[in-house]
Amino acid sequence: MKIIFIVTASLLIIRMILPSLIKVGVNDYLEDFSPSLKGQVEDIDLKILRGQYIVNNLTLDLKKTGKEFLSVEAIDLDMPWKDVIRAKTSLNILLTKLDFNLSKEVVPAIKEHIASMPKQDRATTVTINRFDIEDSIIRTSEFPSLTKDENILLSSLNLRASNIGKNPEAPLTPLTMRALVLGSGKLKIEGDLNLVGKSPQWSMDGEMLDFNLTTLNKFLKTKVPLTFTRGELDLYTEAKKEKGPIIGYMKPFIKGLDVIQTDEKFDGPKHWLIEVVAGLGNLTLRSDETAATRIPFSFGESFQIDGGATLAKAVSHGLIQEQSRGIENSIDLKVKQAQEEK
Amino acid sequence: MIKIPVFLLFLSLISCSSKKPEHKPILYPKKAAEVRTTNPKNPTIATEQLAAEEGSNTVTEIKFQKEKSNLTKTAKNHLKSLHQESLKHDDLKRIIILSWSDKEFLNKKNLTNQDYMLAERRSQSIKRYLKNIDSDFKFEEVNMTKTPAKLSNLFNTTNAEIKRSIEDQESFKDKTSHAIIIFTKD
Repeated sequence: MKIIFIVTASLLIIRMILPSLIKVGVNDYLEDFSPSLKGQVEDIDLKILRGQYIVNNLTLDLKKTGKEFLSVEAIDLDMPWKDVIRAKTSLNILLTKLDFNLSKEVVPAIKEHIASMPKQDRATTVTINRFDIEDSIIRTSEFPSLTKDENILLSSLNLRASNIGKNPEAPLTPLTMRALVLGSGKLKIEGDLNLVGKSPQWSMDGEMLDFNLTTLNKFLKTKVPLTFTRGELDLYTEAKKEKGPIIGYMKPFIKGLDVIQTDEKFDGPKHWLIEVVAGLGNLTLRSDETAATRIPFSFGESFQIDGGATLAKAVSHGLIQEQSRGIENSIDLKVKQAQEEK
Repeated sequence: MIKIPVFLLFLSLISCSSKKPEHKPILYPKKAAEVRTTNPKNPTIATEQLAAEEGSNTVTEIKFQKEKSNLTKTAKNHLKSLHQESLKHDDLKRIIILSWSDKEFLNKKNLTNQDYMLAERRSQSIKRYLKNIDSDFKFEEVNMTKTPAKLSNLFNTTNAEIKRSIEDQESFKDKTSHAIIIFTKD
């Protein structure tokens, strides 16, 4: 009886102090896990019976500047006991209210971190059954004049990727993303990743509806010689990357566009979409008129797009909305095409 | 500066009058759950994701006629193709069948015992058809008219796992009268 009491009491004490111990361990690790990044967590919850572990309030900072660039309100790690018993290393991850601040300093710091990782760590060693991001934000601090509410690029971001890992029997990782672009464009992205093999391959379908072009002005005014006074964009696109360059097409539908263009010069491929939109703007559409076109592109060592033909086609197709709204499902990974042809 | 607009205007004048549209525009409801397409594919991305969570890319969707549980010719063809595809991989002997009635799962309140029976009969039709192809298949049936029991939730069974995964997914609202068939490893 006494032994049972001692064992139970010990287990209870261990259970009580375990989250704090893990938190100290995790924070120690996050302080030194990378040459360019450091982080910390506020709290850890364990739901051992359900196989669920929750990390609360994770933040990541840049080591060089001490600037915070990522915060996540909660990370749920779900490792079902039935899989543990079957010796399967499967994991479900849910990140809630992620806030990622994209800046010039962040990308090199992440690259430095990846380069510092041993090669075997870069490959996924466990299979992640389901990876979710919910109710999240991507912002940029590249425009210091914008407030915290104004610098949000993507809001209401929800993402799901399933079967992440190198599973040759099921090589595809299907991925979906939903978000609001600059508070107006309803963005949907769907696609597949193939992580099996030397270099990752991917294909992607995308749609953005009801995007208010005037919301671009705050980002464009210092970079591109034009301002939108009115206009709405619907965009459909497909692209893929296999062994060669990225290939794809996009179909913009532009409604009621009015543009003030201060210069004809655009900064090469970087501004090609803006150039196409501005070209369509030459039509000076009435508020109920729509211009549409289909633009094939390829992006390898250099970006290629048939701008002249595109604009001519846009005008000839313009006001009658000839293009069908929606993607054609004409671009897919070969491994998937083979499955679908069956 | 002026040349481009003039050139574009010229092009519009010579081309708009005679050219007829190659395709009629297909209009989709604004609230479609997935990316709009002029060429829908089977399986949809949401179904693909569900199968991937079970470690499989071998999946298909079939549709039943309203109130019916017999397989249509198209459904049989889909199942045959899926079986052919499964032969390319080793040991895909476990088959998960998700079957719906003619009502959506997300609207659980309206689901009756009759709905349960209809989904059950549909699942049995698929099972019978596949058993005829290979009697070694092991089946796991998920009836999409019932929420999982508490015990099932606690032990995170396939039934509970799948239903939790699709619970808030808009994409699964339009799966009424459908079944999803996943070939996976045992």
